[in-house]
Amino acid sequence: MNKAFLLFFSLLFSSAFAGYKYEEITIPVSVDPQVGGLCTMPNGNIAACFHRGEVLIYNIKTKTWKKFAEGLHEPLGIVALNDTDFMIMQRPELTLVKDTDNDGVADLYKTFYDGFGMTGNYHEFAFGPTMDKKGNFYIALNIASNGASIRPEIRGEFSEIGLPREQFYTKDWKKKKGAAGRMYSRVPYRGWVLKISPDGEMTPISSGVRSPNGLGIDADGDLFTPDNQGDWLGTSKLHHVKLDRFHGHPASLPWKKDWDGRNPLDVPVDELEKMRTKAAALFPQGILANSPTQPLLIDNDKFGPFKNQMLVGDMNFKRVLRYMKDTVNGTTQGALIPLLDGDPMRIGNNRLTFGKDGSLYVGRTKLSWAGDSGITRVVWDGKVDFDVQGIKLTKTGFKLTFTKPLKSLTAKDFKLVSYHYLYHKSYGSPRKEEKDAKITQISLSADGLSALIHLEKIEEGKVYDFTLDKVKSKDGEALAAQRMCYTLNKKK
Amino acid sequence: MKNVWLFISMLVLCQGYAAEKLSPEEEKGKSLYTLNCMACHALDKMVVGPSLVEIAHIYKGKAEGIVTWSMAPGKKRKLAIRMPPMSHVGEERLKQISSYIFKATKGMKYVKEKSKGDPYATFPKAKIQRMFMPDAGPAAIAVSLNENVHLCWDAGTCQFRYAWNGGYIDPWPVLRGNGNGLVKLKGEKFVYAKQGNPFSKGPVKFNGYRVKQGLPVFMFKADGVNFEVELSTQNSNEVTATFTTDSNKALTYTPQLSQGSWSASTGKVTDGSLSLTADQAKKFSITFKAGDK
Repeated sequence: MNKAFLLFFSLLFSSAFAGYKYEEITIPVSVDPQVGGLCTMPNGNIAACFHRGEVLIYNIKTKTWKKFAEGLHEPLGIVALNDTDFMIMQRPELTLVKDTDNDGVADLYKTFYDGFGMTGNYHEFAFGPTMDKKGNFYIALNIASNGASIRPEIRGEFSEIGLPREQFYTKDWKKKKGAAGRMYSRVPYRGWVLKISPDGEMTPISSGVRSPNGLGIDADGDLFTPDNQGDWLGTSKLHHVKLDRFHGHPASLPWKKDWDGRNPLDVPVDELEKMRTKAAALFPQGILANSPTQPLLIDNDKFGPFKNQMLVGDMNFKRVLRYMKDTVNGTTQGALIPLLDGDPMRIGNNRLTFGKDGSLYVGRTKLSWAGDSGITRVVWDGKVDFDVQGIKLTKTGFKLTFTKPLKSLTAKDFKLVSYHYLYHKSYGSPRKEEKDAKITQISLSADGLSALIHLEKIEEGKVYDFTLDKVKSKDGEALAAQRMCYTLNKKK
Repeated sequence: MKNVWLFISMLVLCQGYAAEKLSPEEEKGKSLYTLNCMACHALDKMVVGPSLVEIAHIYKGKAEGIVTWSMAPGKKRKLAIRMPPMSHVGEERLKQISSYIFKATKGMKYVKEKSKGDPYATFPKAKIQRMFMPDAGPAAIAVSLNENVHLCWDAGTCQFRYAWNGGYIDPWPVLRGNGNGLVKLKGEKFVYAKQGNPFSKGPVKFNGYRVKQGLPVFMFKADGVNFEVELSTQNSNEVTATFTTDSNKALTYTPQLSQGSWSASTGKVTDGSLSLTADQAKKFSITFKAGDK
């Protein structure tokens, strides 16, 4: 009987994601284990920064932690420059934290860039950095929430556009907050992605982000940041960040060079629509992710057969997703699909880093939102799951590739629907014009590893949402991840 | 084999039991709840938002209130974040979720949870801690000089802002959530400087700090002059800031104190301003004290 129950529970808890094993990393009890940043050092050790401002280094051989630095203000990202120096994003600044006397403890906290404003509003988080091959750092600045006002003392120039500063100090903020906008950018570069050169010079890169929780650069050198469903975001997004792009949230516009002084809330949606670059991928709310986090390039072959794709975490699902980029006529788009999903993954997957051995460290946080804490190391055991390997748009539909051959594929094996989200001031959007995509033909390659799905019609500006629940490999395996959403901005 | 049959029949029984418990409406509500609500609302304890037991308690006899609230939520709880609208779920589905909430909590009694306080309160605090501080700019730094004397440095304006004696800080109002709060000082301020760098009315540049014997040496640039500042204390009502600069010109120091008093190690004081010759400006100290001179 016991064996039967064991069998039952092991069946219940073994996810289709068979190839990954999970190891919980023990964190010292004195540390609030909400992880704001994770990185891998050149010597292979892992550095983590935490909610209360500590930076700890995890020795991967002895599995012990040592405190490296402390006292930082809500650090939300860390990059190791070498084995003694780190670039860390904390709320007020990008800081070079150095151990100058090589005793294993930081003794210099050098302000590297603090030229952005702060109103003291709780939602003005600062994310990043990520570093490119030339040594430039990229950071991203949250906009404020009208769930609170601003502090009496601020840092930086104040934008009076739409609501003068004194109105922010009205006793009854509830009556004024609507005029500020649900989310607002009153000090410089809130809602922007910035580049900081190795010598500390700042260049504003792109505007229109709302809550860009993490940055990552892919194999082609493209910079990505996620954004969270909310006002002006019908659903969560993955933005491809490039110079002078506007990603859609208008609050940031007053900090654009030569801005005409209009209240961004008064700019007609049509005008904003023309200005904005559509997201490289959408995370349908309640389906793939509700609060996506740091993108990370899969830079190795040791974490499954997905080298050069990107990972993206999520706060609300027990999930880390894969992003399969598809550049079509110069437009970045592509598909998202879960990679690690369900137990024993947990929610709050805020930060990711690959160890030198190709294992993935996942750091969790929650602050006051849905989430969790702690760090989990995920190791691929070399067993390849039956998975969608990649997806590309064709002139007539999609080409899907798989990690294992299929015997057959018919329209009965999966469901494909298309829909879009509204671009508007309101918070979120329902899925609009949700309809079945009419499949006219399916052809499988001779080796069974790829399939062409031909559609009657291909529409731009749509999410193509695949439910691949009956697709089976030649050996009868079900797909590890059965829900995949392709964001189609541009036809082939 | 016997065990396997027993297991299968139990499985069937379990499924039958589960099917009896929830109506189709409630089943739909359960899966919608799992997708849309569970990350923030647990069955019997507050997570991000109230528990299902508390929600059922609040909306007893007025289930439609759950739908109305979820379509366009407001903010009710000071310490919780505002719930995002669930209008994308739709009224019909929200009704199914509310049916599930009442079924899942049937027979359970709501007991108000007590605030647990800071679970890390007993661990030592960093002597240099950047955090949202009261009565200072948003880029503030708390420094504990010793067990009894502490100060606030403003990294935005590059100035000493205030000192207090007694206990150090209670960071829980900031750390308990997303940062929408201020550190609580566990003592009384004895000196306070208004916002504004005392050396320059123009832009100043904070350059961070070195750590020397556990305490900070702040670095900043004002009017082309690089400053380093060490802070120390001799007694519980006094803080001394020792400045070292690379100045090759005369400097004027004008602190705007609204509480306490100050004195300088060198230079000439006129109308609340200290004038330092180029030579004096290379190294000097200012002592802040409680009360008038």
